[in-house]
Amino acid sequence: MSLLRAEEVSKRFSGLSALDAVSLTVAPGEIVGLIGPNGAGKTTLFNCLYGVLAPDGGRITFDGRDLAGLAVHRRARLGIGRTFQRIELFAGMTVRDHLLVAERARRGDGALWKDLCNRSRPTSDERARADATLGLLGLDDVADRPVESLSLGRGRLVELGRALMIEPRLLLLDEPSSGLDHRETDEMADVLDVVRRERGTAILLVEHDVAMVRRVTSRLYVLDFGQLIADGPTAEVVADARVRQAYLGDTV
Amino acid sequence: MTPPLLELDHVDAGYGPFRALFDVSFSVAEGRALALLGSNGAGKTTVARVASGLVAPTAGHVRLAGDDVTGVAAFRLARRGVAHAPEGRSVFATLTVEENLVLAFREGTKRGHPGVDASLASAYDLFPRLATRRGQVAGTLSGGEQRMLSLARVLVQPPRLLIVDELSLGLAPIIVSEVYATLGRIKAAGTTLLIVEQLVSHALGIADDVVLLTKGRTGYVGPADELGDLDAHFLG
Amino acid sequence: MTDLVSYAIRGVPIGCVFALMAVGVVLTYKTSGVFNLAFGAQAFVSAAVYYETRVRHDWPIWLAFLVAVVALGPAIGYVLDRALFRHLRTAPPIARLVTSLGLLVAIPQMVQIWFGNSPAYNPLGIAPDPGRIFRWGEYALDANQVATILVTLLVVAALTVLFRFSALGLRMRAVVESPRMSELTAINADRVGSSAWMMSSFLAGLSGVLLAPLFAQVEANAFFTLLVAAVAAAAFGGLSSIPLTFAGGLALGVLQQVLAGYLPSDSVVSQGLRPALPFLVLFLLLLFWPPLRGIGRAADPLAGVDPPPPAPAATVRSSGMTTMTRVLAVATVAGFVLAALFWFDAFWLLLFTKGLIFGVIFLSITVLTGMGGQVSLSQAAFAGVGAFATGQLVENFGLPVLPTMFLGALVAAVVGAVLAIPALRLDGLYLTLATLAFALMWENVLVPQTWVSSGPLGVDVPRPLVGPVDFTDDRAFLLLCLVVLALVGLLVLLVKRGTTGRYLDALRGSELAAASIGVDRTRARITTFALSAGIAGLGGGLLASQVGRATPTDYVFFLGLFWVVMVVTLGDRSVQAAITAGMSFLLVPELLSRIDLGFLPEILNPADNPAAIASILFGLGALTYAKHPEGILELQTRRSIERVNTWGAALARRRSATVDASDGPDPAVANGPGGPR
Repeated sequence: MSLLRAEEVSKRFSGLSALDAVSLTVAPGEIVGLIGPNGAGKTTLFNCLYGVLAPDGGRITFDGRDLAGLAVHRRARLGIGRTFQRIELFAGMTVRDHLLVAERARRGDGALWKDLCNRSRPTSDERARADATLGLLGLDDVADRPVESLSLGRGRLVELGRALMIEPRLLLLDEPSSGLDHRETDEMADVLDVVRRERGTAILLVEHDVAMVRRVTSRLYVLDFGQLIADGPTAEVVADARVRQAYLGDTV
Repeated sequence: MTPPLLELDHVDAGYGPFRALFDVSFSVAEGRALALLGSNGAGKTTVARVASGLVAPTAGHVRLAGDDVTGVAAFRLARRGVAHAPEGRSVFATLTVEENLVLAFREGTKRGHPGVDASLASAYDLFPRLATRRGQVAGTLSGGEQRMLSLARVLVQPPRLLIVDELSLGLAPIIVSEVYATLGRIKAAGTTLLIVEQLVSHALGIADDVVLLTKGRTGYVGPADELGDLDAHFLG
Repeated sequence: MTDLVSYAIRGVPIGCVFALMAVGVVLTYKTSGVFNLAFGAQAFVSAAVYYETRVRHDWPIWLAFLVAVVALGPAIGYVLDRALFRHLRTAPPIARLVTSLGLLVAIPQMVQIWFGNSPAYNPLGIAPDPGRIFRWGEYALDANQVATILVTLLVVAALTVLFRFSALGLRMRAVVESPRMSELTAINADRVGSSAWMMSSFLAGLSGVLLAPLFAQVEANAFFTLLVAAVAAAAFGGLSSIPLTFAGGLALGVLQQVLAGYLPSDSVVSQGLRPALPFLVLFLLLLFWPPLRGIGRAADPLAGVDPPPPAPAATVRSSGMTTMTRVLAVATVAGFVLAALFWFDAFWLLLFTKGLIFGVIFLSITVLTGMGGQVSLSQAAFAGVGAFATGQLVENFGLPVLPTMFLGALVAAVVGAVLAIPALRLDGLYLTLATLAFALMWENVLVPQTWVSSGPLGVDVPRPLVGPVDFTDDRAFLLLCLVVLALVGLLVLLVKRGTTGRYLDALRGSELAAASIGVDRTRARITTFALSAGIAGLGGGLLASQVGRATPTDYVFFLGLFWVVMVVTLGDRSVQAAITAGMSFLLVPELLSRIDLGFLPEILNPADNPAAIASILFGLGALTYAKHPEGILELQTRRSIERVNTWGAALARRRSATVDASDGPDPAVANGPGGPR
């Protein structure tokens, strides 16, 4: 039983086909990679899965439910979390606040009257859950710092933590290692392993760092010119001649 | 003896109250390629910005071919042949691909000038994908295509000093290799290179000299082949 | 058919005038990224100078035109660019909007000081022979109208060529998007920016001089109202296409004249529809015109070069000092109230009470702009809705006044929510323009209706009477206002600290990321709008009750612009800034009127001209917003805290030098911003 299922998804931009009948599945608790050369349609596919773009054709289901026409924040409430290629944090907020506001949003507990009765402070339960995630990601020491003061690597972890607070069953990660150095990339890979192991979260990631893809993913999809050209267990796909030609060149 | 093309002399720099560089000194001789290495937040991008005039140093001097250019506006340095491809998608998102490319020409921005036509042709030669999208608004390109365009933008007029920041970011491995091959050709044609790069292996493949930055200070400064074990530098 | 054509022809010169201004607005926006709300004010400057030289001093046309348009227009543009907008090139859009609002408030007043308050009737045009009539069969246009049409066509053609074919046009577009990246491309961003401003200011001056003959007199307000039609035309052009903008302006002018010709002039539809047409068109365009969809301005990829914003005062303040300042604040307020109750005479008592009421109204701006990050120009309209609703409910249904005020606030909140629903699709600038259209529609179309205002004299809103307490006593009313202000202040604080405030913080930080954790943007926006409108409505009801009636002139939309300028200048993120702004709004003109500088000419003497001088001060004050978006009050607070911290550090150092080294550091130092710079 797959958690996320995209069937024959197509998208055209002013006549140009960006996605051509792409199908993919993600099962609960597995980490799946999506790679391909630039302009292959990876981001377009991500945006269709996520609800920023509406596909022109095909069907996307999550846990058996058709996602068509569902707004981004509704998909989040169903349990689809996301991080961004260009980091998107809430300026002026501390790391802990990022997690707390996500926790509150998950509970859908934001009635105005509660604010007016001064009953909207974070509960001890909410704090405990935020602390647990901070601990998981190793962000304890910067919990009360504003996010502007963090390095990019830490910032990406905050994004991940924020996404984890909504208890996602599926995480969509857009180039999580982009802009990170070797050490930070290794840390990110470690964290993704831990998240999958401890929380059972399924992950679909777009990534260019082949070393990272090999390390964390068990299956791989390869897009080129809007079409799937290969999919299967990571090791096999990376060895595939067509993939090497289209994407990896001679670097691996 | 001819002075180095670019020289940073005891440079301090930062953003408002935040200081990013402390007493940074190094130089690049004409025709050589220098790689700036270091972990994230070490100040590599700030060095690139100081070199191209985007950020003015708070102390110290920047010299271009022996002339003191400390605090000189970026556009003047650009006119003297300093080209800077900043990190990220540095394209004008509301202009078309071709408008992005012709913007740099001082003599005119229309096709028809022999220089313009030839440069456009060579840019499209380098990145054929851009040729098919020449009339498209740059903001609608994919992330990788925008990176190509930002590199093509600085290459349309062959610069004297080319500063590239995180070139490999967001590019598929096959394209990274192509781009580095291009850089090699540019260098062979006599352009001096200042390369800020995360992928150490690529950078070291082309660099003659290396500057290691740690927390805004210079560590190793010297020839690339005497660098030795990189991990020792990062750990030590 | 002939009728239709002759109406349409009559509309052409008017349409050209709309188009000319619209093209100027689009040009400024395209080349500097500033939506110049002060464009009409700039046009007014040139019109006034042209009038002064041509009519009052009888200069020849060419000389007056040379001075008023060719020289003065670009000169103003150059000064504005050098002094202001050059430094705003990398500032967020809201800073640019607020700056142009400040200019809009200040410039006409400054001109008035020089130009004088006496009416300037019958302005002359630029046509050498204004009496000459051009005829084609039964259709006719006079010389000034022909001149207007010709000049407009010339300008549109020239600008189209500039943008489509010239290197300068391309560079201007590049500089708007990213001045820094343009510099890396060997473009002198400062020079390109200056030329853009000089060009657009020239257009402002040109349209000012061409427009003046259309009105019976040269007067600042006429130019502003005209700007709305121009904005509608600019919206038609998607804020970018010059030919489309021209077509839009022309169509609007023709449509207005044709409607005027066909609808009987005394019908209700005509009286309502004609003045409303530009606003209605603007509103509908903003909501439904596809070219305006998805223009979200591209982010500057080199924004990281800017220094980070300063830390808010609260983060550099130790808890001890927080307590201290709170005690001080309470003591100050209590002192003022006691003084007001026992010492002030009736005049100062009323003034002080009014200041408290404006504090309430201004808190509505704290909610919408400070917390929601959106600039609304319809706060005066919301206050008016509250006031008139209160009055009508009391008069028609005999409801008790005090609860009715809250009912009036509720009505305003509903109006706000209803406005928010279409406005949700808009963002930033477009939302602001939509609120402007709504404010003008309210003022020109709804307020004149008798069921709203009961006529120009307004509707009675008596003082409340609750059991034995009669609030006709000014002291009792003061206490009532104080309680309401305290309650509203508390409400704003609670919302700000509560979940809603956190969601708004998140949305301001990144709408995309906020949606990714399940925050419902629609709901948050409607809540903010309704809350803000409700607070403004409550303040409006109080204000009406203090005076005894709600009159249309108390809630003119221009006041709403003024209010926004005041609040953001002093600080839109804090409750005390809103209250301070409310007090200053009344006290500053009053205090100015007591400064008698007899040696100055009457027009410059604060005692003789307090309102104008206060407007200039407030308007110019808004220009500080660009540098200190946190507001003057917040800035001063942080500075004084830093100063105290520095003293504390010096004291601690001296102590540890003389006394015992085991003495811990001063708590103020421990939380300090990292020492003085």
